[in-house]
Amino acid sequence: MSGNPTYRASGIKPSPQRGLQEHFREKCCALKHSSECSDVPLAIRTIPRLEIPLASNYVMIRSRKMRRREFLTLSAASIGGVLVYSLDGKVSRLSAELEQSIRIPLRFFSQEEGLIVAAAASRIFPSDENGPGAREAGVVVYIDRQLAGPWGRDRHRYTQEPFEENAPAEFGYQGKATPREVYRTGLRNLKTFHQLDAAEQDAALRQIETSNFFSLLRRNTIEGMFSDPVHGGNMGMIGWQLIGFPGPRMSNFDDIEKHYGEAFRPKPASLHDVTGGKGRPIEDEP
Amino acid sequence: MKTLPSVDVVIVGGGWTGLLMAKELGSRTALSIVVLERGGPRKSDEYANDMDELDYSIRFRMMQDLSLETVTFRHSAAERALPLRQHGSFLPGTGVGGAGEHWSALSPRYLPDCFELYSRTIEKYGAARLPEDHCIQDWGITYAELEPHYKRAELLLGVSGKAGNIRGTQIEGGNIFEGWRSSEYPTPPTKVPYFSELFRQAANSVGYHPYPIPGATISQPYTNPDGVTRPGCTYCGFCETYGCMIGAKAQPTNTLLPLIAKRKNVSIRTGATVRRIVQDTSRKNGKARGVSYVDATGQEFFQPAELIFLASWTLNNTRLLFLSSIGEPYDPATGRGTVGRNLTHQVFISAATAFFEKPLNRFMGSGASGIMFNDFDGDVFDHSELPFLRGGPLLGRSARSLPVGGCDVLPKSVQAKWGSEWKKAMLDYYDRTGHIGFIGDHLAYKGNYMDLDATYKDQFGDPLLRLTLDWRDNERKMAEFAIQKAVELAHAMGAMEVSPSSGLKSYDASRYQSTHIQGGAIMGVSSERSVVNPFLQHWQIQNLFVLGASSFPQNASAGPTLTLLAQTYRTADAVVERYLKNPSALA
Repeated sequence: MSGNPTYRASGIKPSPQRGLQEHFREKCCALKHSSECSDVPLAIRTIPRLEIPLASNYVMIRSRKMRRREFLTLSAASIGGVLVYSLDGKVSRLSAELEQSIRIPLRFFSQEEGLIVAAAASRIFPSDENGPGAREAGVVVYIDRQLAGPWGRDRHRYTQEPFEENAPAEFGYQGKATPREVYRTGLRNLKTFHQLDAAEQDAALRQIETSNFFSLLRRNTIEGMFSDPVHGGNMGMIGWQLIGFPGPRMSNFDDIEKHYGEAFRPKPASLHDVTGGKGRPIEDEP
Repeated sequence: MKTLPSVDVVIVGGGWTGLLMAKELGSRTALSIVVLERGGPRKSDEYANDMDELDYSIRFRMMQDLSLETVTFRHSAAERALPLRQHGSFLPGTGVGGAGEHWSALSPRYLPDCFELYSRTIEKYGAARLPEDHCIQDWGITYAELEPHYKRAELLLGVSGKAGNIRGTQIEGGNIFEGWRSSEYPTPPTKVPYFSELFRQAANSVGYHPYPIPGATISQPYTNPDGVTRPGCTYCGFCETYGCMIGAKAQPTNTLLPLIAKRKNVSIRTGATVRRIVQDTSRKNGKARGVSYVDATGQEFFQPAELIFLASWTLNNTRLLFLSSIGEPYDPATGRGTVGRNLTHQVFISAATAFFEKPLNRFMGSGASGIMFNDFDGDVFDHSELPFLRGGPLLGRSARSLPVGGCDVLPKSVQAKWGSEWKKAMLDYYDRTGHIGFIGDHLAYKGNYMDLDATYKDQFGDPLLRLTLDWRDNERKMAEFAIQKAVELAHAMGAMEVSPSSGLKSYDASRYQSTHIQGGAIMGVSSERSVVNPFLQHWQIQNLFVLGASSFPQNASAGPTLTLLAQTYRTADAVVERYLKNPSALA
């Protein structure tokens, strides 16, 4: 296996200056806000209708060269044309033509599982008139990597028997199943979920709302929306822009006692932007 | 097991107390000192890359690896204990610096009457007011005895704050209810975020006495008496569960290691998990000979030492005493025995969650920056007509605002848990939500204690520590009172909607509260009812000292770090000035 097949995105031009923020501004906000607008999250939210395709943006494909790996293909349009972090930790800022697609190798899910998780996450945190959601943020990529990493297999959880599966919530999760197993089992009951329409998907999720699987999926969707892009989700810092979080900032010294009562929204920057990204995310540890 | 060359002093645990003792003995004596730390090494400059909420606050990168060892928990002796399989109500640290690396750095002193809680309470309210099941007792020291050491601890950390009582003179703008202080804080208060400013104005308008939270995330560059310089805080907001990327937050690695590194007589061995304190059965006076430990490769060692300090945090201190068969285990049925008694966990709640119309810019702040008031703390207010004893401060802090943990906190009016409505509420409320915190006393009860678990084992096959712990009506009613005051204050702050805390029911081990879990090897004036004497020296094994909050008989309404540092200074003085000259009982 030579090289790291992180992206197969012909026609995608590197464009370090263009971020998701600019993309949305150009596509959606131009009418209302000029380019010096620093309050992007609010800008996105004030647009009455965002033209984001809600149909399935993920297309299944199978690589002949890499039979053992499964891929998800993300339509570049669906993720706003920009993907910041590649799987091997290298930074790539890609600005895509709208009809192009980006292929992402999966570490844990099968293609079908990936499609189901992507569809379910986007019903939990949907793309709608209030802005982009789990699909655009790449939440499924985040979840896939977490499950493939030490957390997914309970590397740091106390797993000695006996297990008391039905213990009260005050004891924390006492089950034997690892997050990987919870997902695998949960997904078996959601076969063809990604082919349902939105109302049917919502109905299917309501059926499992009280399950451990759903609570994990919901929690992981939040994490994938709002954790640093280094983990595969929150692509282009979509999640942070939506809520007005600027990411890690080395200093707020000059600002903390200003802006009382008004939104102060510095342009978001990821940990990599701030520190040069020397750290290794936990999901890449053994 | 390989026996190593003997050393003068072995210190078990490389956190705040262990490294402070290493620094004090290392610089004041020529003793050979070895610190055994089971986690890995750390450098003070390695934190630049840790501003990652997922890895540090959600996956708990700095905490103990529970796959190797955890504790079991039950509410009462009638219940079956289960292991805490993932981190929950407290977060044990590991590695050099221990939990002192990832604390919030709130640094208030305890109220003077905390140290004489039993005497003061019955003096004022009579013994009949004490809860039925209590085992409250005095510490065996007074605030006045500890005050000079509090001052040293504040100077060590460079605590930022505003004094409210200097030698009995009350000062407006500080905490007028605090115990007398011999001097002002080493550095001025930190800056005040918007939410905390709203809190201050509301507290003033109601007639309370708000003041800046004393914190070891310091307001300006500071050089401590040891010559160690740290920069001022930049309010990046990554404090609790993170190491400070610039070193503004006092941590053992940036405050104590610079001195320890210069001392040739002190060495720190990491990856060294101590399994037993080894007693000398041949000597009549009862001494310990050293400790046995396993290194990172699995090899076992015996480290002989003349003097042993147990400084491995509340729970591990107590567990090592049990595993080493030192002292008599506490029996709740008879009240006999001392090891494991008086287990407490501070009442630490978000008393009211307030939702505002205006954005709060909550990403700016530090773990300790904010405003608090103590009008309902300790016995500052009269409890004659109230259905509980003690109390605690209410706090308007800027901490805990990162998005993964903070975005799903929504007003009760939002019913949806997922989907568009829920998403919209998250977007609307994320930066318009603030917490009014309450930190309250936890009294000691006969039924709250520790022992060894009969079922679950650690990586070596040793039994896990078992916690038996639940709230009583005193804490429940105290929390109820605080919640009511917090809700009133939230409205006075102009909140559009307020969610009161659901209060304390039974102890919830799954939800983070604080890491202020205490007791198990408590101090006192009687060897029948305590494990160590007022100098933290073991009553029976005179060359063994047990440092840290395992010695606190009750849990007070403030973070324990400053108090346990002050106690460690006091013990270091007693060891250097008295014990080394004449190794015998200090009390």
